[in-house]
Amino acid sequence: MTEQMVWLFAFVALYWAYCMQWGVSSARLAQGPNDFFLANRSLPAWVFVLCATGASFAGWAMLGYPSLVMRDGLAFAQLALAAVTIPLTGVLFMKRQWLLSKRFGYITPGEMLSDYFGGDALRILVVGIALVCAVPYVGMHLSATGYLIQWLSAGAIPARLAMWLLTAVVFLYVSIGGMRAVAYVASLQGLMLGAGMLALGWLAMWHLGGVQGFDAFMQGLAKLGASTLGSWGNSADGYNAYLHIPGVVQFTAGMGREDPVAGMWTSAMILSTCFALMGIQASPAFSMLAFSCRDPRGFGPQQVWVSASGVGLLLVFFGFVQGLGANFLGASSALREAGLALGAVLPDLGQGKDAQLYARYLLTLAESAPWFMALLAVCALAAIHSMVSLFTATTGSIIVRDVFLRYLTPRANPTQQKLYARCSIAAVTFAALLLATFAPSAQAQMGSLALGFALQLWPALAGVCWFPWITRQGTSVGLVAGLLGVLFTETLGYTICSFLGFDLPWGRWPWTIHSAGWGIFLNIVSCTVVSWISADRHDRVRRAQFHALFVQTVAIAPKKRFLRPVAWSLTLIWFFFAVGPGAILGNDLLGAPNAGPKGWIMGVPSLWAWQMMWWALGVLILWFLAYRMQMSTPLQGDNLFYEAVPTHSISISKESS
Amino acid sequence: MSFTPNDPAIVIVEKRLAVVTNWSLFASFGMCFVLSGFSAANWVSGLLGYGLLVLGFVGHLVINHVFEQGFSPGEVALGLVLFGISALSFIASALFSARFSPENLGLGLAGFGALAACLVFYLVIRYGMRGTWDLIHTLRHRQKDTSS
Repeated sequence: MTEQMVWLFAFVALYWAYCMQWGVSSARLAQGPNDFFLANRSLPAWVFVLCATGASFAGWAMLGYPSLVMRDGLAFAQLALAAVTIPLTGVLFMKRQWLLSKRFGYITPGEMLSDYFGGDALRILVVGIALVCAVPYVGMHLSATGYLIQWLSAGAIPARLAMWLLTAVVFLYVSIGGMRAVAYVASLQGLMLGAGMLALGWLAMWHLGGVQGFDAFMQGLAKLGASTLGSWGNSADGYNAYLHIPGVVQFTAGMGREDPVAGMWTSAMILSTCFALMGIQASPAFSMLAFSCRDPRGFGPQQVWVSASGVGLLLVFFGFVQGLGANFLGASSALREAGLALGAVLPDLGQGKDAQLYARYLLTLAESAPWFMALLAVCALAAIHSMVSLFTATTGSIIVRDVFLRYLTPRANPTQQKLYARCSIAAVTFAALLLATFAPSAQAQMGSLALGFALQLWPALAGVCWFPWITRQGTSVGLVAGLLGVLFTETLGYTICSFLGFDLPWGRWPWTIHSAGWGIFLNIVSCTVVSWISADRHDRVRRAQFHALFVQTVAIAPKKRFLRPVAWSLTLIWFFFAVGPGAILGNDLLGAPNAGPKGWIMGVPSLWAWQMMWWALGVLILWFLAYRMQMSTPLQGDNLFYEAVPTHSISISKESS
Repeated sequence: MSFTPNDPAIVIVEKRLAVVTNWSLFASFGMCFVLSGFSAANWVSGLLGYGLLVLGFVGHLVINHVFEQGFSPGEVALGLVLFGISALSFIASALFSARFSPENLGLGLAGFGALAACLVFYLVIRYGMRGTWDLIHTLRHRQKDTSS
C-alpha cells in the first residue's frame, strides 16, 4: 500500500469517527419525532450558518465550478456571483418561513403550504420535488465522491465500492441521529468546504509561481485572448471565447440540436443558471433546516457574511485561479502546444475529463505531501456529504409526515414515526445508490431537473411569505406548468418524447436559456393569470390572517418603509448588470480581452474585473436587504412568537386579544 | 430575551461540538503544515502549521468565553497528553533519526516554544502572575499530599 493510500485511509477513518460520534451523541439527545425531524427546533445560530453554507455550495462550488471555469472560461466564471444570488432566496423567505413554522408547529414545507393555501395538491408536489432532489441529485453527488477516491487511488479502489462505503457511513449517522446529527456533522463539513476551497486556490497559485507567477499568468491570459486557442474559438466580436460572454442570448434550438457560437454561456444562460442555483435554498430541505433553528439570528450572518462574502471571495478569486490557471498548468493541450503553458503539473484534461480537475490538483501533492492530499480529499467528501445528508434526512421526514402520517398511518406513535423516518431515509439512500451504480445516464438526466424543480417553489413561497393575492389554484397550476417547463427543456423530456414516438423541435436549454429559466417563466405567468382568474374574497381573508402575523412581528419599521423601492430597484439593477443582459458590458468595458495587462484598466481581464466589482456590490445589496430592511434580523421586543402553537390552525386573533 | 436553551445537556453537547469542530479544522491543517515543514525542512510551512495550532487554541478560548465555561478536565488531560507525545516524538526523532536536520531542530524548538508560551500567556491573562504561581504551587502541594 502506498504512503498516499495510508494517509487517505487515516483521514477518512478520522472523518468517519467524527460523523459517527455526533450521530450517536445526537441520538442520545433525541426525545421524540420532533427531535429527529427538526432537532427539536433548537439548532444554534452558528451550527445553522455552517450547515446551510456547506449544503448550499457543497460539491458544485468545490468540484464543479473550477472544472467548468477551466473548460468554458470567464463567461462561466460569472456564476461565481451565485454566491450572492443563492442566499438571496434565503433572505426573501427564510425568516418568514421560520416564523410560521415556529408559530403553527409546521414540520415540513408541505404542511405549511397545505395549511396556508388549503388542499393537498401542493403537499404532494412538494414530496415529488423533495424526492427528485434526494434521489437522482444526491446520487450524482455520491458518484462524484466515488470517482474522487478512484482517481486518487489510481484505480485501486473502484468508484462504486468507494461510493457505497462512504454513503454507508452517511446513512448511519443520519438515520441514527436525524436532523441534529446532520447539522452537527455539517458544522465541520461547512468549515472543510471553505478550508478546502482556500487551500486548492493557494495550491493553484503556488503551481503558477506565486505572486511573480500571477504576472506571468496575466500575460498568458493576454496571449490567450489574442489567439483562437481553446474549445470555443472566437466570438462574433473577434475575441477569444475564454474571456468573453458570447452575447445576451442566442436563438439556437438547444444543445443536441444546434450548438451556440463561442460557447453557451450567454447572459441569458448565466441569469437562468443563477435562477437554477437559487432553487437550492428554495428546496424543501432548506425550509426544514430553517424550521430547525432556535431563532433567526444565524440567517443574516449565513447569507451576507459567510455565503456572499466568504464563499463569494473564494469563488471569485480562487475558483478563477484554479479553473483558468489549470489551462496554463498543462490541462489544455492546445495551450501547451502553443507554448503558453506555465507548468506541466496537470495532465491533459480535455475531451470530457474536466471533472477530474480537483483530483488532479490533489495528485500533485501525492509525492511531496501525501497528508495534504488526503486531507483535501476529505474536505471534498465532507462538502458533498453536507448536502447529501441534509437532503436525505429531510426527504425521509417529508415522506413520513406528508405521506405516512397524512394518508397511511395517521395514528403512528412517536417510536413508529422515527422508525418510518429511518426506513424512508434508507429507501431514499438506497435508491440514490442504485441509480448511481446501475443507471448513471438516467441519473444524470433526472438529477439535472432537481434545482430547476426546487426553484419552482418560489411563487408558492412568495405567496406564503409576501403576496396574499396568490391563490391555491394559481400556485398549483403555476407549479405544474413550471415543472413541465423544466422537464421539457431538459434531456429527460426530450428522451421521454422520443420514447413516445415524437420529436420535440428543440433540444436541451433552447435559446441558451437554462431549463430553470423556462420553468420559472411559465410558472410565474400561469400563477399570475390563474390567481387573477380564481381570486376569491373568502380565501383571501383566510390567507391574510397569516400575513397579519408578519405585520405584527417582522414588518419593516415605519421609518424605514421609504427604503423599500430603493432596495428592490438596487436589486434589479444588480441582477441586470451582474448576471443579466448588462453583464456583456463587462466583456471589454475595462479593456479589450486581447489588450493585455497594459490595456486592462485594472490589470486583469475586463470580465474578471467586472465580476469582482459586482460581487462587492452584491454583498452590499444583500447586507442592505438582510439588515437594513430587516429581512434576516432577529425579532425585536416581543418573544411571544418564539413559543410554538402546536396546531395547524390560525389563532392570531386569540393571541392578540 | 435569552435564547440559551435551558437544558444543560444541550449546552454541554453544543460546547463540545464547538470545541471538537474547532480543533478538527485547525489541528488537521496545522499538523499537515507542520509535517510539510519537517519533511521539506521548510520554515514557512512549519511555522504556519504552529500558527494554525495556536489559532485553534485561541478559538478554544473564545468558545470557552462564549459558553461561559473553562477547560474541562478531559480537555486539559487530552491536551497535555498530546503535547507530551508530540514532544517525546520530537526528542526521539532528534536523537535517533538520521534525516533530522538542524532546520528541523530549530523548527521543533520554535513550535513547541510557541505553544508553551501560549499556555503560559493564557494562564497569566486568566489568573494573573500571582494567581498562576499559586495555581502551580497548589497543584504541587496537592501532589505531595496525595503521594504521602
